[in-house]
Amino acid sequence: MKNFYNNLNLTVLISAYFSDPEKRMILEEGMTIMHQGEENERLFLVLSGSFAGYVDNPEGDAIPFFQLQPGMFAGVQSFFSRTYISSTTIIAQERSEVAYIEREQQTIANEGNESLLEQFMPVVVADLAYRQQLAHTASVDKAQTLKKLIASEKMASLGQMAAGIAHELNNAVAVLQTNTRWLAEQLPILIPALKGDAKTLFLRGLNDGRKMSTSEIRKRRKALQDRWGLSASICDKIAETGLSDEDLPNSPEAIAALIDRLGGFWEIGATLNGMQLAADHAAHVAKSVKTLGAHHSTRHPDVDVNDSLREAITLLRSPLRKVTVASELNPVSGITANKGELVQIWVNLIRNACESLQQEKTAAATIGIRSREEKGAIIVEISDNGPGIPAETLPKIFHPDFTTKVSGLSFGLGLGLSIVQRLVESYQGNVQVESNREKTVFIVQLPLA
Amino acid sequence: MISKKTMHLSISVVATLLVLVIPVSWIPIDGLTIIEQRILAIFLLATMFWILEPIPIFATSVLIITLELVMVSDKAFFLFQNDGSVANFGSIIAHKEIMATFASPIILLFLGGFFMAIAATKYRLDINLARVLLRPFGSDPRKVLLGLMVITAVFSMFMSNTATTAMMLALLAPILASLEKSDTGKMAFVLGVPFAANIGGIGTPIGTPPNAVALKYLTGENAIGFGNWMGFAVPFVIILLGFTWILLLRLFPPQSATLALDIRGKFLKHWKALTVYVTMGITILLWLLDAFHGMNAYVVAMIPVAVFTATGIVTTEDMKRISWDVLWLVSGGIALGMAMEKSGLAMHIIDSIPFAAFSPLLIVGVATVITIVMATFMSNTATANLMLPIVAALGISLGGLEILGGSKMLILAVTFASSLAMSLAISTPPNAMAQATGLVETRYMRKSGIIIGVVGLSGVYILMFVLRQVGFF
Amino acid sequence: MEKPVIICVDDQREVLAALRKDLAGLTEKCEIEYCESAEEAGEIMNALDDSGETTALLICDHVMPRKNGVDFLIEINNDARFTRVRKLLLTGQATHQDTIVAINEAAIDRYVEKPWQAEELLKTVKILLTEFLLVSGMDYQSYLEIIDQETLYEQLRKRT
Repeated sequence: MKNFYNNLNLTVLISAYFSDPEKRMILEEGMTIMHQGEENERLFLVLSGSFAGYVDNPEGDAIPFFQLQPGMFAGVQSFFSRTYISSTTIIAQERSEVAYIEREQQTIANEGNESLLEQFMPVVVADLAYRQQLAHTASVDKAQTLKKLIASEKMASLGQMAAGIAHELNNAVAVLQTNTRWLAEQLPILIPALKGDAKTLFLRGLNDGRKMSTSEIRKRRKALQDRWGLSASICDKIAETGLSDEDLPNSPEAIAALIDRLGGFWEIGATLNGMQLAADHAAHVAKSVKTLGAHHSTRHPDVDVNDSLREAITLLRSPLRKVTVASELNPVSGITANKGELVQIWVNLIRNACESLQQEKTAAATIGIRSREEKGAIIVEISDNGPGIPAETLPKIFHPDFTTKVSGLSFGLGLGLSIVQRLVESYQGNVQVESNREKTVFIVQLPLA
Repeated sequence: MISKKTMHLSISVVATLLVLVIPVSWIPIDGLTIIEQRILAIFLLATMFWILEPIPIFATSVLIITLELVMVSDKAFFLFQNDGSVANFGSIIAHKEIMATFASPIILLFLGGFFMAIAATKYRLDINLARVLLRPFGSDPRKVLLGLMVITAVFSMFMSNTATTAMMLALLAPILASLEKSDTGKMAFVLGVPFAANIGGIGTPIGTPPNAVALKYLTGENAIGFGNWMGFAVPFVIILLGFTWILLLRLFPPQSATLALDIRGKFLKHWKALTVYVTMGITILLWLLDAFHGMNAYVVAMIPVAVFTATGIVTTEDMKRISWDVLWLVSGGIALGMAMEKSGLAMHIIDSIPFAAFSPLLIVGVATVITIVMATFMSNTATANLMLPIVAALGISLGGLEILGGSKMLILAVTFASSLAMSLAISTPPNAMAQATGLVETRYMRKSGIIIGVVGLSGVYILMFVLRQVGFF
Repeated sequence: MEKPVIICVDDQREVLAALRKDLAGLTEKCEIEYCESAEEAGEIMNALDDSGETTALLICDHVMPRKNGVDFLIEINNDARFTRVRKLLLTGQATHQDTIVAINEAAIDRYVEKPWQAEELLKTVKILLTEFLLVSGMDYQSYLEIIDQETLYEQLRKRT
């Protein structure tokens, strides 16, 4: 705003009119140099400090209409319009000094023999331009604010809807989750037949789930058929359970009888396992959806990022069982954050790494989790030693409609990474990804302030 | 406004009725009986229907058989039967005999061929053979053209010319698309395949329906075995194919330097596929060696039919895809020929024209030229159906022809001639398919087709001369 | 006796396991192969074809990693070897556009939405198997257990 004055050469004018040490004032913070609607017969020049101009109500949390910095004038309008009535209230924002001239001020002759008004003309014009620009900016600001307001209302209602759906889902999923767990615990107790090798197979199904791929099953089926001449459906069942040759009796009749007797128990176990996986997954999806619309989560100061990382690792205990986790959490400063959101970010990234390792059956699968503080930001790196993200898909991974590789029941829904990006950006941070054949690293930067 | 079809139909029917109702004496054929008059009317109807095609040609065949049954059989409609009052009624024909044409050995021979073709296609033997056989021809477009023509010709000896052309054009489609628009070689390829199919059909008795029709007249001492037929027909095919290849290269030289056909696949190795290979091999071998094992071509033809149905290689659904219309077209021809022969009509017609006054050479020339002209504008099989009964009778009655090889020679010459018509899209189904690719200009097909026809016909004369010289006739 | 083969393709093992349960009644007369990807299914179909077995029905999910279901079905539809194979798209995630492509370019015979009802799926599968048996000229009388009677009557009525 000061541009309008900066471009003027007012040195001559100021030294001619505002050098009188008598006509100077010191104002403490909160003191008023003029009141709206009241008489003002002076023209002020701000020498130091700053002032704010208010229209109407300077009380409470009123928004200043304009700011005055050193080198700027106050009272231009009342002084030169000759109404000598102030149109604004101007209050010092700190201890400030002003110089002034009064209504009776005589013209001090200059080279062009100009009148007082003529000499001050640039100041008057600059002041007018300044006010006009203020008005313009204000109206633009207003429009933008309105737009934001509408958008955020839309988001809010979408968020509310999403949260509502997620809540409903969560209720249903919670019932499924607990009941499945209960069934898994109670079945061996309540069903007398479920003991001995039946129980072994049941637990095998329950704990390992369907770990055999279709091609593994096909291979094993072929081997079994060739060796024992059993029917395809019996061999399929054996292959599915993952029973090895040592686990099986030594004649086709005995094997058929065994599978006939026990195959169902494994199936029950594997089905329960599948239901648990599905329920866990549904819970995860519901949570993700909730976060999509969430903008009201409160942030608290002094949240430890390392804590949130540990929590995420705990949450992902079961999928992480199959991989090595190498975590290196260095002490970092607390940041203002919502811990749930941070956990959400890490869960999504770690889950992602986990899936890609499982999908590609990486040998010695390892996930690295590292945190540190650097240049006023907390940096968290989550890496995996999977085969990497193809260069052509790399630019797309943050798009909400990008579907990640899919395996078992843990499909990504394509929201995971876009949620991560949204959340991180809400902390003014950023996510970067580096990927090559040996390693993929997601680097999250969260600024401290 | 009367449609063209209706007009053709009415003209044919009116002409037929006219011949049917006028007094026998009005017809300038000596000793014509009532039965012969009716058969003459049927013959006229068949001729007009096959030329004008107001109804499908196979329907005409069925109509012939039905009319014969109703009008000249021993179980004819009572008004058509002889109450004893008519003196020159003529000899009626047993209805069983007429009906038997539907299952005549010739039809079953063709059926055997169809079964082999279905099995070969189903187990992709055709395409795999094409792939393997094309390999030695490399990538020089001239050689590839030769390879395609040779394979097409070989296949069309055992499969229908239409099916062979369809398969080969489908294989050709991708490379035709890859050739420059201005490459005249395109035309050579698109014409080479149907021409090769037409020519290749001459190679075996089951190669094309006219050959089968000819077999009906080649009986008794005139009988020709499968291997025997191939013995002279295949060399003829080879020579004419070679000529066609050179002609096409001269007329439409390919511009591109290399050309590769990309046919993918591998021979199936499961038991059904192996059964197909073995059965086909044995069948063809038995056909070729029919002189040694006592089974004639008709009997051998039943072997693949039995094997393929018993093993489920050809299922009921596959059987529905057999071209029954082709079989019926041939049946009708056989029935027509039989009626003309049995009734004595054919002889009477021949007798009423002073053929003896003409030079035998002229007769052969005229008969073959009429055949090729007719076959150019109508179905080859229908042409053979119409021409062969008359030609067969002519051969027997005309003593002067003996020097040249008798009726056997005349029948073969006419049969070959019926396969040499390929100058128009309507001449043969393979030609129509080539036209449908949109890459052939009519004038080029006409030009090359006529040249091949003329050269082919000359070839037929030379072949007949050679065969006479070696004592075949 | 020849066993027609059903191929189920879905990238989720749990879904395949569910299909396994729902189609259990067909194993007597059919062979059922389960595949976790379109690529795997393609290989199986090639191998089956090489050994002279007949793929009768392809049950395929749409949203799968790498090659998606509709693309795979289009490929199969354009393969001359598999012209008789019946195609069922079993999915919950196909968009309107995907579905249009599936019908126009892959010529799918049926579309079943996830989650499916076991009975409805079984009925659909039987209808498609019946159609396959009839168009491929297999002896339907040996497959009465897996045949849909209505479809059979309807098709047989059209015969002579």
